[in-house]
Amino acid sequence: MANLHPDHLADLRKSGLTDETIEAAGIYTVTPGDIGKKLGGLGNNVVSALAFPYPGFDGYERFKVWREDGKTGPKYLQKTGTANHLYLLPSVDLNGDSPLLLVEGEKKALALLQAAYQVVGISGIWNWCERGQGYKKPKESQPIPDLDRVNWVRPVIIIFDSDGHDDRMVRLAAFRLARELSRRGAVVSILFLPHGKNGEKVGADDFLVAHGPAKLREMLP
Amino acid sequence: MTTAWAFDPNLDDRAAEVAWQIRELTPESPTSDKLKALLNLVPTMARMTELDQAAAQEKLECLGLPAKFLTAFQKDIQKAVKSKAKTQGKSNGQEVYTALFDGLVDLVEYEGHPVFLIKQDGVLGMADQVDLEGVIYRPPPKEQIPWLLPRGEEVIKAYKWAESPGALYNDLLAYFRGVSELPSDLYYDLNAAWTFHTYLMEAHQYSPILCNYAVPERGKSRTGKGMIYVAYRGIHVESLRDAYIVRIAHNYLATIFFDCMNLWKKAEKAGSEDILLLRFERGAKVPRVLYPERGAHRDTVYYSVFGATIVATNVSVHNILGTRAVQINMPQSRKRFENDVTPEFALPLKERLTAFRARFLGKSLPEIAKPALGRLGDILKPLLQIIKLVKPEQEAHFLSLVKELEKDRMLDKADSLEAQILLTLKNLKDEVFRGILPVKTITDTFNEGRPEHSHFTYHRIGHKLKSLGFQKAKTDTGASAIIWDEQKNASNFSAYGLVETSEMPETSEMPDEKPDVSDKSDVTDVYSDAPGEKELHSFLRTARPALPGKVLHLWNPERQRKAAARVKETLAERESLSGGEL
Repeated sequence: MANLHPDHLADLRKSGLTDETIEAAGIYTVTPGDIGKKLGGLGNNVVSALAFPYPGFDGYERFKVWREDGKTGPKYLQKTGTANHLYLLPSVDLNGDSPLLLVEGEKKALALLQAAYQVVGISGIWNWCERGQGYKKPKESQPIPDLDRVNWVRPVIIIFDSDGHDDRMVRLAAFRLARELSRRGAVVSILFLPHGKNGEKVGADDFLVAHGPAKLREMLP
Repeated sequence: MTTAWAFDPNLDDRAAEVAWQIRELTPESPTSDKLKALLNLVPTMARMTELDQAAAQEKLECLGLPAKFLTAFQKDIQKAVKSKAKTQGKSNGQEVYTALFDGLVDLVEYEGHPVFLIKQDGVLGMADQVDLEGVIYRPPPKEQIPWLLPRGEEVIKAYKWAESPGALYNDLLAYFRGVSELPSDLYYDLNAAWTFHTYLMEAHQYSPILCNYAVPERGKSRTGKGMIYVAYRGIHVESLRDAYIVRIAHNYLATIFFDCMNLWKKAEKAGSEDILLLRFERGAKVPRVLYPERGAHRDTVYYSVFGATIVATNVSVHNILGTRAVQINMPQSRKRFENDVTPEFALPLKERLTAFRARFLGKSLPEIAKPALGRLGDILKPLLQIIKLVKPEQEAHFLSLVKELEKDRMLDKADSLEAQILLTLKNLKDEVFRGILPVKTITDTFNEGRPEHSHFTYHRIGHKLKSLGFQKAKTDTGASAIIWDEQKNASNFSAYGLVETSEMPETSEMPDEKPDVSDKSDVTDVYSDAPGEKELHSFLRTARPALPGKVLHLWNPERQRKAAARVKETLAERESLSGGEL
């Protein structure tokens, strides 16, 4: 774990990821001097960045970023000008026909993989589209070519965060993704995870930490 | 307990939303849960067409809700629909119009009214309204459409007929030949390709402005009208009222024919010169501060003004506009054109061109390299793509026009101030010391012989040199200088047509004296605007062999005069010595 800042390691562990998972995923802390280069000029107020390498995509990475106090912006970034990719983990059987989970976010994908699920990650709810803004114009919502790398003729469960219960745009993204996968032969179910006890947003990693894999299994078809 | 929901891929987005909201509800569910679902559904239902709303309500009725709740729900939806229309800036009760959306081929006329001509899954059809993101749009009223609409049925007929674009191209050539006389045959091809390109504007990044330029009574307007009547949404305007131009460009993506005397002055007066300059490039927007009372960041509206443009002018257009335009110098016609150029006469061609648009809308144009360097290449690329698409056998013909236009541009460039500065530089190679040349030396040489009131300042020349890409330096005394870079010079000279070629036979060589090698550059000549310069210039051309080894700075009128006087003296002297046999 020498290549991880203690705060970053704590963040990954908070998501329930084990050291083995973290190491196998090649996650590392970007040295401060490299932040600008790695983000392609997007690193203005970024103070630290945690890199998630995408296996099989020739050095492509996504970054969880922490910003200067008082500055806001997206929590996850990728280098400017790079295309969207699927987070395809080597141990997942992409060509098989067993049920496949589709989840938004690298940490969530790793948490589900750790819980012995076959899982594919997408880097944002619209990032299975080329421009990542699939709801705006049909021309911009062309599915990314990476989708062709997976055999979709199988049961697929889209698992999105709990804000899908309240946010119509999250649901729209899920419906459009489901329709695209159905077109490719999948039998799709959609699961918006339940909110936390105090109404807080819950993702797959939080859910697994709080309730364990057995509880999740009960919710799946 | 929350469970995964089986998605039905046959449902569209809104129907899926309805299904999701009521997924866990049964007639036995608590009324509060049902009402919560209804409340969540109001925004979605407000975006639905009446037909979809009815289908969704049928599902909701199965939940066994009392009628009063459903009536209240209905009212909420109506309220949401009205407020949505209001937030979109449409006042209550008014129709929402549009003339642009994805998949629209064009506005056409059907039974006396404008309708949308839409292509869906390869089928061409007409519709008097469309549902876009839950809002129902209709075509603008006929009186608001300032061009003659193609007849929908005729367009569909032409579309089904699927004629070859080459045949349509030939008919367009014949039409243009019957409308006006152009400088050469190549220009009919230019006009035909340009007309086709107006029908696929979505596919182009640039659009060349066609500039019909001539003195009055040369057929500029007739040619422009002939073109605009067959162009996509062609509008002929004689004034440059900013608000109107912005709106027809933004709302219709119209092809505009500006037909006015002294166009640039009028554009400046109307404040619409930015529209003229920016129309040639996709994505360009002109800002207009329409709501100053709303404060910063809310007061400005940005309008897209990209579109095909024709200009008729009897005054040469502004330099910058000129680079975005293809100029057609209208010749004095010897033909008599008996037919009137009217929109009705051009209508059948327009309908066939609309069918062409329907066929090729959304398809990629042939991938090609730019046919010329620089902006000329940018603006001519769409036309060459069109040629390759509709009439590939005319490609060579078109490329010869490109060469002609390139040559014209090079000549224009050689007349520019930048070219004159570069010419001065060419003569100052010997003044270069330790690799640098003072701006003062360049300026002084440049100004030599110019009347004092038209002298250029060091500052201005320095700026020009900077814009030409010369690197700045300082002399030992701290004065401004440029770094002498042979490579940069050569590329600049070449870009401005200042390279010496064998086509310039005139040299300053004397038969009895060895010439100064550095003087060769002086033979490139630049006309000045001073009266009599052309005559003087032609005199120098003929008399130059008699000049006794002097450097001629022909871009400098005063020196020209002096040189000419010296030449005359020399000639006279020689004539007297040789007894008039020279």
